[in-house]
Amino acid sequence: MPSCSSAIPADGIGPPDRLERPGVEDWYRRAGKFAPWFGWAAAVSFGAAIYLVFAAAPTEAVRGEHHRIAFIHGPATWVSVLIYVLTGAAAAFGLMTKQQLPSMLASALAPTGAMLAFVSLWTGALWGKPVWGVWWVWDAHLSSELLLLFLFLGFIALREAIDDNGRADRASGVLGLAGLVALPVLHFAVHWWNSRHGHAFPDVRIAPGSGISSFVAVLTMSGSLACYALAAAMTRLRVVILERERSAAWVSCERGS
Amino acid sequence: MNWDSWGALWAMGGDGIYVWGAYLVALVVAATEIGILALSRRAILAHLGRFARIRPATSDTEAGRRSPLIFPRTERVGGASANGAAVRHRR
Repeated sequence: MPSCSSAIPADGIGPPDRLERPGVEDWYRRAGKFAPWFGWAAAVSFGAAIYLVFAAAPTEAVRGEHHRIAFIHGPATWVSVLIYVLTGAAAAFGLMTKQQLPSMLASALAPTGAMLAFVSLWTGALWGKPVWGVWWVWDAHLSSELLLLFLFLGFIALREAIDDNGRADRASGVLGLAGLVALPVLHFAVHWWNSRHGHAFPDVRIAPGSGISSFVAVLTMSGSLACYALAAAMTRLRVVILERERSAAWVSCERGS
Repeated sequence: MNWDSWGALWAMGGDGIYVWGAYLVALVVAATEIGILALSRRAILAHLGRFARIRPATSDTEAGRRSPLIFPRTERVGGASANGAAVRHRR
């Protein structure tokens, strides 16, 4: 058995075409250390947010019960945009510096972002049906979130279509950079165009005298989804690192852990 | 508390299917993602485990010295398929 500290590739015969990358190994361990913490934080704050939304927040006289959908629709939308910014920035940074870790991080973030964009669209449709009477309208807000989902799916598909990791990094870096440029345009377009989609979240006290407003519930849910996204991305980053660094010596020591 | 009974909580003033549907889809999506992550981690570790089982034979034994001829350098660089085939062949 070769020792785990050996610099020889795991198979002992291959050329040292994949050199040891201490940074990647460090981040593999760091992600493994922090992912459970973010996972538990997400679970606990999700429970707290559910309590605030369903037990503490009163029924709104004007908007009825369906306003409770907004407490997950808004946070899912915001966190999906945040994940997109992180994905694009990481991919672009990987493109500029030719480092592998940022590109690995981008490919770990994208599927979680796609899932959050999907949740945002689905909960938005479930809100639109009782309020507007339709599941979907071609409104600036809705269309731009749909575009965000397609950007995520395009990013993932582009990476999957290219077998060579270095070329996939470069191509997805260009796509991420283009998406980052498009995002502010989308944002301002949404605010310039007249839209039937509401913006403001009413600052309602959700338990009289407690000082807790619905804003706190939204914030708790946003924190929960952000922690979940980080935990999922870190877990996926570990899988991506193992897949891409499979012939590095340290990887062979990771079996079963 | 806003609700007199569990029934009132589920009914949600007639909007139950929309409100609970929204939270259900979020939970289903998260559960799916966690399941996929667990499966993909198990798959890559199993793949690395297959590597490890052939490694003792390729390090300093006779088979190991012969293996560069069986699996030339050009095949090795391409990826794991050559070694994966070797495992199946040897069993």
